[in-house]
Amino acid sequence: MAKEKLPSQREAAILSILINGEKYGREIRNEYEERIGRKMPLGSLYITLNRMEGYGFVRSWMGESVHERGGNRRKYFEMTAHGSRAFDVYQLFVTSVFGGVLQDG
Amino acid sequence: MVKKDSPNKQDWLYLLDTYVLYGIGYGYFRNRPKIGKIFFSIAEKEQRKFHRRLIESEIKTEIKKVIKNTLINAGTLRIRDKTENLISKTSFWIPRKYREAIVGDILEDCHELRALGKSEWRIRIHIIWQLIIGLILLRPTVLVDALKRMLSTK
Repeated sequence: MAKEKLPSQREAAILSILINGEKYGREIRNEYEERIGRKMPLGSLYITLNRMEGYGFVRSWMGESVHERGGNRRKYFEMTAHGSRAFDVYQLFVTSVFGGVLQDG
Repeated sequence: MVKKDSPNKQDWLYLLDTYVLYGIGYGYFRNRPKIGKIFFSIAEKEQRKFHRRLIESEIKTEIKKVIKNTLINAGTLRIRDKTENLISKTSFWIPRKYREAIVGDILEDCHELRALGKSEWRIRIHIIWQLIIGLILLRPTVLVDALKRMLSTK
């Protein structure tokens, strides 16, 4: 059986945010901080997204320019089918590990 | 020798001192190579220090320039042409593919903070913090991208 690349904890958190649809960097950052309760500077976020794009978990494209951004365009990210599969595998892995702990307890 | 656009007078005098040390090594101790070597090693050490200092000062002035431009743009400018200038200033450390997105995100943050009534100092600290993190983390991706490009062309 071919080994599936398992996302890290941070990557899985970002994938869970992207389940609801496409989002741009700042939106992902805000939702991550709200859900996880940890600070996520933009540099860290983009480096993680860059890595995830390399693995094929997400794909990106440039949106339209926005007035509040000084006319800069937003970079949108979307989960790919491969990313969705990897997230399912991660969920299965976590439930199998912690399910066992709960049963023992 | 490391090329620098405009070293000041003091820098040149410092460099000249090291050449004087070389001169002493050659001239006075031509027949005593062991003593001459001591002068050479001191001169080399001082020259290395001089070059390091020049590079550090160049990087520092570059970072200061970027932060200053970001602050100016975040506060006053909203037009696309003007922000192009800021984006081109950040080219040396943010990868091209993320430049527009990151600068835009920081500016959008500033807009929101200002709408929430935060002070200008709070906004400035936010910008500097985001840029420092970007500077530390995104620089390796520039190198990796450059390496990938180099390998793909070969």
